[in-house]
Amino acid sequence: MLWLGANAWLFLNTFLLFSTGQQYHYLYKMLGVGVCISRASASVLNLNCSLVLLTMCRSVLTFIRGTHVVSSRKTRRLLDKSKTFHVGCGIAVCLFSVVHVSAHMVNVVNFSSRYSDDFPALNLARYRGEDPKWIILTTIPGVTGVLLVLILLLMLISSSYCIRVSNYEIFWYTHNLFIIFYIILMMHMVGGVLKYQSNIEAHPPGCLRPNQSSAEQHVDDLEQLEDDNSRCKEDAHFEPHYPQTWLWVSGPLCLYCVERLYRFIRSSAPVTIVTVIRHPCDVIELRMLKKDFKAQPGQYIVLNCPSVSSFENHPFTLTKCPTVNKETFGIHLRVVGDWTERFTQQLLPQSRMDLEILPMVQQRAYPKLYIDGPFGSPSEEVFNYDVSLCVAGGIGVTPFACVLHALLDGWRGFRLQRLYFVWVCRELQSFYWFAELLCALHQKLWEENRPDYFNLKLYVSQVDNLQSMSEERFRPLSSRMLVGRPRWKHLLDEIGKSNKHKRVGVFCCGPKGISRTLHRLCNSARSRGTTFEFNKESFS
Amino acid sequence: MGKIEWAMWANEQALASGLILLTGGIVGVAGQFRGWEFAAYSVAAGVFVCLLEYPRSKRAKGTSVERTGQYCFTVCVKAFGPLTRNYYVRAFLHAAICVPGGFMLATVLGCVCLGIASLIYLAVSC
Repeated sequence: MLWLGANAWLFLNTFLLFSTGQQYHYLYKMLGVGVCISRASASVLNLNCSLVLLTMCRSVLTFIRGTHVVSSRKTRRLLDKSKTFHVGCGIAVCLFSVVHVSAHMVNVVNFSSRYSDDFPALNLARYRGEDPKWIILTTIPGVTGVLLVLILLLMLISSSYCIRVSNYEIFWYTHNLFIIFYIILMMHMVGGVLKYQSNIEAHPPGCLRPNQSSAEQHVDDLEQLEDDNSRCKEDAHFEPHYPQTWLWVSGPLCLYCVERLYRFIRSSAPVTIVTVIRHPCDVIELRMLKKDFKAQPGQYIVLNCPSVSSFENHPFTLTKCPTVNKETFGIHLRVVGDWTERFTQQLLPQSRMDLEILPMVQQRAYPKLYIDGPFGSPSEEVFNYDVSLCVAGGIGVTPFACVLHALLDGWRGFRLQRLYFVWVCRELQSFYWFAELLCALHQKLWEENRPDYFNLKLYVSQVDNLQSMSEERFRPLSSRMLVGRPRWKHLLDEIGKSNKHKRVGVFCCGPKGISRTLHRLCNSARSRGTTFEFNKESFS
Repeated sequence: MGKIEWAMWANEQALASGLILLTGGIVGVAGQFRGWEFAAYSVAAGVFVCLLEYPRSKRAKGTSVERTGQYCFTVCVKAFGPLTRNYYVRAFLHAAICVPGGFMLATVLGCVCLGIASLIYLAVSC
């Protein structure tokens, strides 16, 4: 809302400035309303171009999230939705570019047809009736404008959902053209096409030249009009605008460059792979060590493996954070897609179907790995509620696994008093990824006399080919396992009944269907005084 | 990089440039600018390109999402056989269509975008 208001205010302000401002009087007469629209849209474009960059400074956003300076929910939601905001600003840039370009086209035509003989400094065209195409192609703003529009179009078309889902690399490589976009944008204002009048006091707009006479005056009134107000003391001087774009854009651009540099330096430290474990259902667990690596539960890292692909970076949520006692941290990655397949082949050269743990001796055979991060995500807020509900779908359990590890280490230090954990998987085998963790936590809380702290519900959504966990040590899990999809409304009602007048944080990481249903249920009215606050994890 | 399916991007780019050609053409005809005949041509060319590119082709690997209501377009496109199905032919067809758009200011953007799409199709088929 604030953003829309800022855009609207900027647009109207600049529009009024150009249409009524005295220093633009002659320009307005020559170009008409086109100049107002084009300048107004330019100022909106300035704002959005700078915002677009700011939303992508991930380390800065992680830092802000971590300092807990922003405790109000609205600002936290803004941080959570930074990617959506980025897309929104991007679309605004495209829309206003269209407005800006069309207004400037009209301006160019007017520049050429209404060539002003009175004020030659104001003209862009070299002579009356000059072909507008040549005006565009021979001035710096024109040429840079054309290039900018082209790059913008390329970036827009390759950012469509379809291409992002099917070929992420096309999206990534074309989107990186933004660097060229910003460089050309900085040069766009060079040349000072639109000028303002700098000596308004000496030459009030609309005044008459010494040898001119106004057509409407009667002959008798001529002597009365010899006063200062309507005679010009000197000719109009025109000066080009100071390029405002630099003010808007250079700040965020510097911040972004500094952040990329910081991330590059941070990620160039090597990572040692300690263990590689193969789990059922195509999941690999990777345990790593890195010097001075600190992370909070719920954060994610970005992996880069040069021997697989030098430019591809893939995000993975941490499943185990480094603690004071144990410095190893881990991720679980599901093998789907060509990068993960090749990565797994390099990690586990032999392909065996059963559980495989490779000892440290084989470390020399591991590929070099670089990690960037950690970056923040909404799941960090699980500990800041009294009661939390975590819903995971399949591999989406990874952020919550980290939360569970943190609870296993020491659950007393957090504000969290009760955790409801719902994990929906297609197959029973998937639960073996974290079966030991779940049982260990359950056991610990029972022994420390807090059985109500951790409430676990497991769902197997594939109803045919039923199996069960036969191991005795996984008894707590098999007794809490249900077949079929969970009924969310009943679940929320049940939680609401046992936690009256409390704020329950709902965290969902999984398929869109589940998160949409949950979001809708959370927002619909709750009768018993419990409010459900939905925090969506974007797991793209 | 070799595993990227460029054809989908070329299809999206060509569809978008068809729309841009169409809009530019309408603006050119409505304003009766100098050379509005080129604008009228690009209206027709834009419509043709949109119809040709609307069906989204099936991916070689992975899931493909159809555009809504593309079945009838698919039938039309397939009816012309190799003339429209072959990407080589499409590349040259787009290159040929886009040239007259470059003569008028309102349609020059559509011309360049269609040119880029034709280059991508050429890259796919080589």
